[in-house]
Amino acid sequence: MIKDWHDILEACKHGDRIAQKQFYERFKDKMFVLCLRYANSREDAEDLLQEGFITVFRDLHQYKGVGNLEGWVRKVILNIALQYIRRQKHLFQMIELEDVAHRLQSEHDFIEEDTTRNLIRIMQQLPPGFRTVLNLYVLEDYSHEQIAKELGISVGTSKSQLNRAKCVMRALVEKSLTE
Amino acid sequence: MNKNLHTNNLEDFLKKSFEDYTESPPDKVWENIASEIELPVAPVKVIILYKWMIGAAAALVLGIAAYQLLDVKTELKELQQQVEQHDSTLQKMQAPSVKSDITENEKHDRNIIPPVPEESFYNDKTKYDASVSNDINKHELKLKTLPSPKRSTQEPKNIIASAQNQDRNHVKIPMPIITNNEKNSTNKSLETELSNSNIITSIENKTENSINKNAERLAITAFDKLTVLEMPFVFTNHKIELPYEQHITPLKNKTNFFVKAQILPMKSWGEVTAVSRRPGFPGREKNFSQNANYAGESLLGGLSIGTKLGQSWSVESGLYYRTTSHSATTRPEFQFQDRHPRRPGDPRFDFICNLNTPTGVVALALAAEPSNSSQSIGEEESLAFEVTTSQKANYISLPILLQYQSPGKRFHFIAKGGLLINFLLDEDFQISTVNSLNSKLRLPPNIPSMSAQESLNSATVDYWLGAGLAYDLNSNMSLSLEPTFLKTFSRQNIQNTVQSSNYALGLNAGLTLNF
Repeated sequence: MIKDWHDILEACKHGDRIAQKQFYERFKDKMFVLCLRYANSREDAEDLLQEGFITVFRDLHQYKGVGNLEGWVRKVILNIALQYIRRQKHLFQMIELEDVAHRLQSEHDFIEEDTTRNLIRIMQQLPPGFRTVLNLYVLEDYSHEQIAKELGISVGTSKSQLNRAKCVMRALVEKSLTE
Repeated sequence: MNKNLHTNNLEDFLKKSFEDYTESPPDKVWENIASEIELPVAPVKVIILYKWMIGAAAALVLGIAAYQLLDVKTELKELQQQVEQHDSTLQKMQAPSVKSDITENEKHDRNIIPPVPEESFYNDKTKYDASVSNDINKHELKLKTLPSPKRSTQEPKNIIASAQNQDRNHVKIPMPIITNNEKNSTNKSLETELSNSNIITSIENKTENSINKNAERLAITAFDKLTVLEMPFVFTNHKIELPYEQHITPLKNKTNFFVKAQILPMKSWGEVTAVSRRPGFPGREKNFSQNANYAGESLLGGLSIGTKLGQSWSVESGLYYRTTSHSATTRPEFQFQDRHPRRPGDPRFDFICNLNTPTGVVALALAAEPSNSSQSIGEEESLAFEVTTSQKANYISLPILLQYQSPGKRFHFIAKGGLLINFLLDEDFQISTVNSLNSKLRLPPNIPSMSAQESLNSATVDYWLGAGLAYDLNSNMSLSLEPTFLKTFSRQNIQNTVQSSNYALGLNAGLTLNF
């Protein structure tokens, strides 16, 4: 039985499936939420998580023990998520709030009691660019300069898109809850 | 939800909502991952490969050393046998007259000794000279029929002249190699004839010049035909004694091999370079670097074997163990935006930089937090740290050295140059102290800064230059002292634009054993 994380890491590097499963179990829940926040759908989030962990296991030898392991795994999966976002053509396409609200209402499994799950569903209805700027700035503590560099946009665009994303998000939340 | 959204701003609401929220993915995700991940191609552990190389090199050097030692032992044995042979020969040569196991009666019985001429024969000078000349011609003819092995490099005439000038009671002339049968028959005949006391007495009294001349002619002819060795014909009062030892080879010189034990304490110095890194995956390096000097000690010791290439030159190689330790103080600089947050919402963060050290690149994660949470820090605020590090490394080193040694009775000037290939065995890097040079940041308690080796210089190569004196303790051993300078010329950099050099200066003390 593998006892500590050092052993698990070493075993993972050597392709030990049991250790890899332990490693996956340790981080899968948090990383799945990360993927859900960036993906267009739950299915896409599962794909991102899958691709992310494959990359993690492939590049695990690059982790030298400096810094937090969870932070490193998070960075790898975030990078995969950003690649996924960058592949999408219309990052900041205009949306009609009414359409989004209608889509949210039409989903049968919308759970009013689970706030965060509902927030994820709302975020997934946002255009990818809005969603990404909002996630990076609010939840990942990225600066506008860093966001601009990651998404290949200007700092001004990042700031303006963040404001618009916040407005849309607030409106969608309010609308979905009042109807 | 609605209440939360209206009582707090959206950012705080989102942060709180996601802070501890988790959700499990379906099991099929792991199944897909497990089916996708192949057995990883483990990164090549260069250090392990080099350890094998070190092992192989060590085995090779030890093998050569063992072979040489065995060879030397064999040669010593042969040498001993030859010395015994020479001793035995010398004893025989020092005998007052020609030795023979055959008694006088036996010689007569076997008709070896020719009949003694009448007294009148010796009174007739012409007759006597003709007889002697005839005898010598016979031997000359016999010698001419012998095969011609390699010639002596020494001029026969010179040898004879030298021999004639020496003590006439014991004149030595190099001895030709003659095959056993030829030698036995020729020399025994000569011995028999010339050892006859009557003949010798007569020669002494009457034909000294003639016999000298003829003997010289005979010897020259012999030299023309035969290999000249150091064993002599011996003229004792004009008696020619021929040694009976067969085919004696000359004593061998010492071998050209030597073994050297040496120890070299050194002071070392050089540069370490700090390169700060911006956050991101996999961590892009920022265009900032700072050099700082380091200083330390180094000790090298080991055995080498060598071979002489001539009177003055020699090459040597072997195995040394080298241990180094040094410390350095660097001041890596960052901007606040270079921070790596520990996790969302955590006020603590790491500033990560690479430190270029003699053993390779070490990543430093310098933990920090704002000194005052109410004080804002601009993204481009300049932040610097003072970091003191210490590093120890052990190597197995393989020297390849060329040495010049001046001739001299006891003292010799020596100069040495070559390469020293170092294979890293292990290293230990420690952060000794970290200080924030900006009052807006402080080091969080209980969170130490960390370091990790990012890349290893598994092998480095040094120039070796040394010059000093050697003193011969005896014919086999000598002591040497050489001020020695080493400079690493393998590239030890993080980026192509960052270079650093390492130097060492010390006094090499060596004890050489010649075989």
